[in-house]
Amino acid sequence: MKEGDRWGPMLSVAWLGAGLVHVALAFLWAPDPRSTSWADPIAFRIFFFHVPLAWSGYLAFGIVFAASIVFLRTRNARWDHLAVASAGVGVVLISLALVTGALWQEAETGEYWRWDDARLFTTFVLWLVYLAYVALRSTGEGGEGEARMAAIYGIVAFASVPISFFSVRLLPALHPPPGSREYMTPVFVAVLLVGVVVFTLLYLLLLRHRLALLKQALTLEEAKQSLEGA
Amino acid sequence: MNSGKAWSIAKKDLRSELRSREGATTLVFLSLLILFVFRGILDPRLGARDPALVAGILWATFFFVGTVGVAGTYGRERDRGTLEGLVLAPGGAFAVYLGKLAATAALTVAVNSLSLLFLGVLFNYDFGGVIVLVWLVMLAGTLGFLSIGSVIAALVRGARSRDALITILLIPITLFSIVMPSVSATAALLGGSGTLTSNLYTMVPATVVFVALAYLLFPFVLEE
Repeated sequence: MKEGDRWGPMLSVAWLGAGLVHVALAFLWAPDPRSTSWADPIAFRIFFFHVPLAWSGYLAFGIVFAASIVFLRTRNARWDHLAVASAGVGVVLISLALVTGALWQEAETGEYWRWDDARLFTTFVLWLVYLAYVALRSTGEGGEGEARMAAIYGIVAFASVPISFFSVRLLPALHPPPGSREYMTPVFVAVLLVGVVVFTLLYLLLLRHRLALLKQALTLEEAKQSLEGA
Repeated sequence: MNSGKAWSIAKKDLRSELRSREGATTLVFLSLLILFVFRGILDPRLGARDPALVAGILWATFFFVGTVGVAGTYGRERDRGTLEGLVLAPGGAFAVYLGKLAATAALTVAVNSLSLLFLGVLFNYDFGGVIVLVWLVMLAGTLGFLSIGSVIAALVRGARSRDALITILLIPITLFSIVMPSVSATAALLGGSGTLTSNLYTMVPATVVFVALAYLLFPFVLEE
């Protein structure tokens, strides 16, 4: 038995507990926002999940960028594994952030998607870029060549994000600007912070599982090769 | 030395293109086909009077011609096994990038100029005096697009599904930083909303960043 197998389920259960606490806080403890500024106070609670999801997704993509640079410098496959695992998890998290954002938007304005929202736009580009990264990793090239290709794309991709942000800067900021609204009460901030911690832990947990899977796939591949060689 | 190597590579590519015309034939035909498709799917009664529509059709054409154009440059070297020679020649990896970029840009800009003509004829559209400015925006947008497109094309040159990969990887990176500002700038020139300068302020810095990325990453890109 590998060490990952022993701790994996326990960590998952622990995270589930933390996640339930966060759900309870978001729905039971946090007060309704002033109904004048938000059409739907229940849908407003999506905020406690939407923002942490987006945050952990951005974190995941930042890790892809950093791991890609380190891989190009050191050529240690471990960093490549970190990049590919982080990209996969990041795409899932940002997908959820986009879905929760769309649902919330619909509840507030009746529209799922607004192309004139700069931050939504940028996040959508980010999502496309890393979906392309995942597609690149699914071509089945394998080996050092694919890892090098992906690392370079991981760097180009991350660098393209601020450029995209820059290019949509002329759009009006429809997104709720952070830190300037009446809803930012201490309780609200506390629940949001719990959310950020919970979803950062979710990222780390999924990353850990993904890395363990990659390691097992590699072990399997090596075993196959040694059998063929024998 | 660098510029010498880049120049030699560009000359070699253009000479080879002039002799075989394998890139140009495909690209001109592609450009015509895309414009035909737009002519076919749009109601002729609408006409092409809306600047945003004309700019969109133009850039959809430029975009796909550019993608196919850039795909050929490194793919051919790879298929013929000649890329190694270019890498080993003294002068560095960035010179290979610049030379290839220059040759691809020359070909693509030539085909895009023809596309402007085709659009004028097929859609019965009169550009009037702004045609020179539209051409310059096309030049800026095409260079920006190819500046990072060359990196991607070189990167996936060995992959089995390289043509599909170039499209998949290139669209998200350039759509918002190069293509959309180009469309917007073109539409502004043709009398639509938006301004020329604010879009150029996006495209030009983006191109500079892309070239800088190419400078930093091309030695890694060319590894075998």
